[in-house]
Amino acid sequence: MGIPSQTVDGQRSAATVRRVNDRLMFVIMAGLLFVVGFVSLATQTDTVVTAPAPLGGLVTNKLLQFVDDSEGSVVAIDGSSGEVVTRFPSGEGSFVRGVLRSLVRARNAQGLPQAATFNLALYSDGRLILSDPDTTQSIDLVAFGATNFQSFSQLLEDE
Amino acid sequence: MFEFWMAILVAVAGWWFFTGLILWSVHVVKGRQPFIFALATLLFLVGLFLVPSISALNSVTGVVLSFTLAIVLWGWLEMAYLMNIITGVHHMPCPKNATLTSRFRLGLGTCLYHELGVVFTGALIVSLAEAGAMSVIFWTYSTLWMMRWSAKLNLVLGVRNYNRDWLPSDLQYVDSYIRRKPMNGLFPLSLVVAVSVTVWVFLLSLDPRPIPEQIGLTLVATLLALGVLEHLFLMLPLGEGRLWGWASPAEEPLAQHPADPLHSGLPSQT
Repeated sequence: MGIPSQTVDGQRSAATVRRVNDRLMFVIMAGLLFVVGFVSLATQTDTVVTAPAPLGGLVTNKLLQFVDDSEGSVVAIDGSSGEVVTRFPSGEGSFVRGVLRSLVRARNAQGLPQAATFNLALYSDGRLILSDPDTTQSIDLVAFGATNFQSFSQLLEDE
Repeated sequence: MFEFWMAILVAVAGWWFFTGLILWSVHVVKGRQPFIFALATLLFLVGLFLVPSISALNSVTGVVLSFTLAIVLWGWLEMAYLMNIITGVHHMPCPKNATLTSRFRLGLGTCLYHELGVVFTGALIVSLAEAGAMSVIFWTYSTLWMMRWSAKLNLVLGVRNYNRDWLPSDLQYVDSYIRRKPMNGLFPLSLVVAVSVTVWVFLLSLDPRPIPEQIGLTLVATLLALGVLEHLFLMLPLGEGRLWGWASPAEEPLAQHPADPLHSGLPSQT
């Protein structure tokens, strides 16, 4: 550490450090944007997926089992009577399949068997909630729009 | 719609951040590369360890974590290559009069271990990630992988523009494998396939499906779109260097004579 030359050295290294910092600033900026996006995305949307507690009373509900048959259709079976409620042929009911897949995925993650009885419940505030009693995972079907709502609400109407 | 735009922001910022971080640590930080690489390796191993649990998460957080994890795993491979740690079987420049096939073969030799690492890591992800479900880790990683291989093939066949400054001094010889051409036969095909897949995945993401899946598809689609953009930069007269100039070395003599035989070699309008 030669004291006499320190000002010169100090200036030079300060200039280099400054340049590095400028670049680092851009990286940090992108990183901050990333984190902000991540957090707002997670907090905004995770609440939509996990259904909040319904406000109104229970109007009607049905226990349902969903089974894949050999032709690729998904068959909805009434959990208490064992009757077939409806059948989504192969290539149809992509929303139903998607919802079921995400519920089954949660079961897989907890090591539960894939076969399950789900509870489809309509509440007086208009909420239609499909829930898995074993994982307590529930999906608020109102959040996905009228057409998708319809594909599940028809399961309650039949009979 | 909010989630859709936020997912695009996350994908662009994430890609930008990690690319910048790698280039910055390769080019700007001097002398501390071993430390940075050790840190990155630790992150890579922890990341691999977390693949099974993160891929099983069924939430938006899980999806964004999966996306980030894939970029981290890919980033480590990239860093190992650029820091000249995992490269290939030889470090020779390409012979002057090499044919296309020998240029390809020798070029593959310069990055063989790196490419094997890419394949091996991909296989590890497939075996570790939760089976059955659409795994965002796998799709993100595959996107980076396929886009990179397509870009590399185009580089060997000849592109109008690529950023030589990205290569650190130890890897400058790699430049000898790359040709400058206004167009090559593969490029239109690369672009058509990449654009089609991008549009397809964007359309899938707009389908009604559970929100985590929508977000996952949007993230992958955005990454695909960024890959298309990088492909376009290969053929546009302006360099990708503009995009990353802030993270590349400051006083490189190479930038003084941007080797552009294309422009200098063009017959003047007579």
